[in-house]
Amino acid sequence: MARSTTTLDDIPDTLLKHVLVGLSSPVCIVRAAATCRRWRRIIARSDYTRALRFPPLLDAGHYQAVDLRYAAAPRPCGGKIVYVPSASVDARRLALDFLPGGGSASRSSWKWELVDSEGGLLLLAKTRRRRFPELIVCDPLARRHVVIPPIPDKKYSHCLAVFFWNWNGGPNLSDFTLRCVLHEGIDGAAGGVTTARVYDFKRHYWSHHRKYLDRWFARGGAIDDGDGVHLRGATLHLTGRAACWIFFGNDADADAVLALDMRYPSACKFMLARVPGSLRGGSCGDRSGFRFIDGDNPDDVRLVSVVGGDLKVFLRRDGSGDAWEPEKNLSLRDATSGMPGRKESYFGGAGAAAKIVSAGAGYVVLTPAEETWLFSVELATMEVERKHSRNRYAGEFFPYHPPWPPTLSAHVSYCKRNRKGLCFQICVC
Amino acid sequence: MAAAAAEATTDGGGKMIILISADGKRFEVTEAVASQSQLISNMIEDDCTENGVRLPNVDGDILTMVVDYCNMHAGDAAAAGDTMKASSTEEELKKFDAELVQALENPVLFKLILAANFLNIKSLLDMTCQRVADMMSGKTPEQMRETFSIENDFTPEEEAAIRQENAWAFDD
Repeated sequence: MARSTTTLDDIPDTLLKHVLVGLSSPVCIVRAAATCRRWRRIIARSDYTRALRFPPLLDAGHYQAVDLRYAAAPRPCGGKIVYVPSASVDARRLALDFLPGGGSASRSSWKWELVDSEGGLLLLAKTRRRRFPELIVCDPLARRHVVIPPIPDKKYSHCLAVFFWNWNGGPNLSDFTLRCVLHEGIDGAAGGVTTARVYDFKRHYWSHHRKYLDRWFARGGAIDDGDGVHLRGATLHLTGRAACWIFFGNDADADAVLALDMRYPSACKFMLARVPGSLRGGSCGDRSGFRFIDGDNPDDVRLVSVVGGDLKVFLRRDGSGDAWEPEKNLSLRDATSGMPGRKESYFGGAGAAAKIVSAGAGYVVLTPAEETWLFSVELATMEVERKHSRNRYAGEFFPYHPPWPPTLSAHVSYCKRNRKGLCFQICVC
Repeated sequence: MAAAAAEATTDGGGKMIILISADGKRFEVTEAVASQSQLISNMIEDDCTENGVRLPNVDGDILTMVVDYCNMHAGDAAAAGDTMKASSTEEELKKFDAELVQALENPVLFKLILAANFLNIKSLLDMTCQRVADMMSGKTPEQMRETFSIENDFTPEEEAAIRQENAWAFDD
């Protein structure tokens, strides 16, 4: 061996890869890839990411919607959305102060509401009276956003729900799909007959033309006449989403909820779902009375509901019609007794003594009907607690998974134009 | 010339092997210790260790460390033989490992990686590589270049594009 000092240059690529695989966080990896060409080349190869020891999906924390009616905690400047980081992530990097309408200090950015998340993207909406909401999709890491155009000719339609809809892989700002459910009148139909229709928005990058394809598509599967699910004078509102199902409560007919079955990518189908008998006749049509959440399996749906002073949990397996099996039952009066701040009068009266504030996979946040006293119930154990962070902002949780592996396209890929003409990409040539 | 020594046996009964470094230093180790190196283990199987094993890629001072490491870690491999090594607990081993790599200068650490790779001692290779990775963590690209004396071969435009692509990872 030569007597001169040994440097990293003497370490062959295979060994250097072995070294770089030992990096402990995505931040380290991205920084190491910015050190020199050789390191970048090694890290950008797919065998590098395959060899990594830590789990590929980084848990970066989550975003939470703030429900201003209930949120007890002082709101951080950021309006109706808070970012709750995990230990390793600097929250300032994922602030949403880049949104249109100014920084976090400006009041106009407060109007954005968090509607859905998927991978590293967030879907935000600004609701407008009697009009289709303004929608944007943003990437907090890249601090970029895309404005979603309104559906042609549906400017004044009522949007019941809008969410990410992906069948293939993690979306990014240049490739994603949204699904939107509109409640609208039927052309030519007499009397207040309305229907719900599904529209998909696709954004796709055509690398050949170097431009984006942004389009709304009307999906088949609007209400099927055969099923008789025309809604007369109904007021619909979203009452929850499970993996492949989405449910809308109906103020006019509290017993029946409108369900959208999205188990098959090619077809989505509306149907009327009956809620369990014990819920009927109550004030179920109200969003605060029951919610649908994810079950344990992708096809399962769990229904949490408040009847009188009881929390009742039902489970429907594999989309099996209207067969709701009672799963759990909790007397809120007994479960919360002795907790600090709880008043004797809570959950006493008949009717809806409690309201559901928010619900997600495995938990529900509740409050007594008469005033705000938030507590949550862990559905697996039926344990009641006051301290959990989700009780602070009262809104729903939106998991946030930054794209993994990190995109390292700059200066690792070769130009597709083979050095003929101008190069438009950030490549090695 | 080393035939006699190579045939010698310890009181434990294990056969001794002579390792010869690039600068001619000789190390006498038991077969159990030496066979932690996959390279030497294969040579023992093929019976070509009689005249001592020449390691032209490994310096004497590096080989000293490797032999120390192998002696320490031979405990579990040769539980029957060495009573002294068998007593070394897992904690002691970890402490020894940490001390071994902690104080090393970069060039020595890299030589140790190359030696571990050449001799094919997986545990030593993993440990030394992890040490280098640990030195990288928490550093900015500039600090990494400084630590490992790497030349920045990106143009300013390229570097700007790279930083922009994953701006979240850089302190701006």
